[in-house]
Amino acid sequence: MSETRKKAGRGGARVDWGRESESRYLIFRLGEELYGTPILGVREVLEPQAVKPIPNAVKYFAGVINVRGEIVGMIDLRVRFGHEKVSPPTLAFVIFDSAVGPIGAIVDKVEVVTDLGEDDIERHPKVETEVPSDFLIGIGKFNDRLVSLIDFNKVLGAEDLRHLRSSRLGPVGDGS
Amino acid sequence: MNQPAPEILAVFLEEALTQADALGRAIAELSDPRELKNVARIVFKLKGAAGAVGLSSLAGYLAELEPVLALAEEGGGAARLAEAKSLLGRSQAVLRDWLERLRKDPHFVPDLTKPAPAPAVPPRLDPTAIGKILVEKGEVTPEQLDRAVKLQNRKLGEVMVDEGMVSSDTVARALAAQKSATQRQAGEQIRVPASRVDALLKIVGELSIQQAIVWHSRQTGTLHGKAAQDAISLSNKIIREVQAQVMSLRLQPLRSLFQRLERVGRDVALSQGKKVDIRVEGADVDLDKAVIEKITDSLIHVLRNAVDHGIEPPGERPALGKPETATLVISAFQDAGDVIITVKEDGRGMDPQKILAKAVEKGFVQPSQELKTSEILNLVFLPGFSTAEQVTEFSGRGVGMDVVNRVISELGGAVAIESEVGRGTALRLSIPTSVSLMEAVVFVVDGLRYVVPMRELVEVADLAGYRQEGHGSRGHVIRLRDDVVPVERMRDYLPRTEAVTASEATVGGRARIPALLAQCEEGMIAFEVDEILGQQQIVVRALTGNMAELPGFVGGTILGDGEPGMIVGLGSIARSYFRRIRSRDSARRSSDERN
Repeated sequence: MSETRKKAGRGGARVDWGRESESRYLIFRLGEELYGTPILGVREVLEPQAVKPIPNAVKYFAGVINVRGEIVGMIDLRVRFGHEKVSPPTLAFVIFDSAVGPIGAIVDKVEVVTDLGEDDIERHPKVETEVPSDFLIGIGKFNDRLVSLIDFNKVLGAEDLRHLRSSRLGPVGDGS
Repeated sequence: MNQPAPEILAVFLEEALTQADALGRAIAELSDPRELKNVARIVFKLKGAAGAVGLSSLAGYLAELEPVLALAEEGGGAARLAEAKSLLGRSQAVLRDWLERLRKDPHFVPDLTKPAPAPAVPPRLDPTAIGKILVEKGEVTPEQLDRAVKLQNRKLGEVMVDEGMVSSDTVARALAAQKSATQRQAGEQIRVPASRVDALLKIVGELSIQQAIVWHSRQTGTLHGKAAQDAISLSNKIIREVQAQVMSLRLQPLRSLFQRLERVGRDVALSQGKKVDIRVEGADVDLDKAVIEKITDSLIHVLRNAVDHGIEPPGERPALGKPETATLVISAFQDAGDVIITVKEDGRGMDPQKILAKAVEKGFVQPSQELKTSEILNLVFLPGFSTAEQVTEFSGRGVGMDVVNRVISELGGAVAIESEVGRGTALRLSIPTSVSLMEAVVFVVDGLRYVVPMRELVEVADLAGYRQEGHGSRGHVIRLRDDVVPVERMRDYLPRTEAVTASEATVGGRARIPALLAQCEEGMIAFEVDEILGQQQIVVRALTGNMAELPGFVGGTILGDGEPGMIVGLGSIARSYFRRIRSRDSARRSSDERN
């Protein structure tokens, strides 16, 4: 997306790369929905690569990838948010810095990095979302569309990745 | 005075802890009043340093020791020296504890009006004792007591959830925050001799020369030439060397740990009036600093147990024809990639018959089961085997042994017991020197590659060479030499989330059926895998955050081709098998009883 369109879309708000990083958001797409996450929680965006699946984990935990010698877990946000799984993922990998270490998310497309001022955000909206409400920053307005602004670095850091039945390792249906 | 800056405090503490250990050594070696000068010098140095960083209460405490030193130096014979020695020893313990606490809480000041926290035996109170009295008096029913005890042992978070104070989600998030906070705290420091750094610099220099040769060859298109090939193979060698050198930076001698253990042993012996000669061997053996810190509490526990339960009460020994003074040896030696730490005493030993009776009573083993003595002794490692009751009933070594065992196996090590009734007990801990580099076997299940540490494997077998006996609904077993070994399919333990179709067909009619054999406390077990690819040295990467909780895995690594590989905890998977079998057995037994 071009710089000019971005400016127009935000109704002429200032672009200042040095400051206001707290109000910068990475906007990405899942299906037709737009999501935003604070850029400060994002470590990097990677090209899609093969994800190695891990047993005994929840369905939306896609597996692990090698990021320069570091093993990073990947959460398929499509599956997590109830969309159909796309395989292989030909999309974008967003690596977040969570409190417990790096964790990645598979998204459909990274749209843009943009500034959202207080006027563009409605805080504490009374809507139901897929994530605990304390992680929902608000609903932002971007290019005449609504964006769910979510602290993804915190959401992903707090996910329980264990498969429900995995507290008992071993053959399914055994032991009864 | 103001509180010192965190960085200054950290440097001070690192130095002060070393000095405190030196102080402990100096005090222990005191045999002549003239040697008090050594003690005084260290106390003076510490006092000065504490004052300089602004820890005035610590400096004040150390200043109070000076009159003691002066008095003892005046003479007064062996009695006064012994008195001073014991007083100084106690002060050293307070000092060390103080420094350790300062690490976690820079504002810590101990309450010195209370008597020194005697590092003696923990009060041996049966947690249910008061409950038992209440039950006997008919004030409460045994059921009520059970419920109360359970409540008492529960975690704060669980209680709050049940009481409706917070939601379980909130607690889970708070726990995650707590965990990350403790991880961040890891600003630990290591003291390194300058010579090691110099050696490292030198080989890194060599490495960059080899790298320059490779780079040049690439520019000139002679990568396949001899010069480049030599440089590449030399680089491999140098990188291994760098790895070994860097790893050795983390190594520390066991001396200060052993000193602490010696002290704990003496204190317990003193408080129980037992005469014990504690000897230390191999204090120069090096172990990774992080590993030493992890095993410290376990070893203190082992030592307390050894003196408390292992060695007979005073007066009993001569009647048994043993010398009145018991001997306890703490020793360490290097054995290939492991360090073996042994705690051995000549006390009363463990009675296998009593242990077996207890295990049968608790349902851990069937009365009909035939067990070797060593297998019986290993039963004390089972979680839930030891109880408070056992401590008083017989020479129970089981207290917390499951915890010791868990800590050591988490580090990839193993614990073994040798004991003979009337002759004593030896506990052998083998601990890997380095936790981050290990030999491993790469295997395939369902088309995915996994890694298992070499030391978790007993052996690799080809099941095609054995007859697999059916075993009712319980799956298959093979006879391996003298043991009957259950066979499980690894794919049942590592199920893919998505259905796999390709490799499914390969199960039947294979020429080879490779299997990994593991050994845990309950016995041996074979896990059938699809393929074994080979052995390689791997660098262990910790799994971060929520991935660390995935069951069955102990870490991750990067395989030769850059693909991430998960390190499978074969021991924990084996234990989950035996746990399942046990719970099924007890379920079956109780249903039999009903019928």
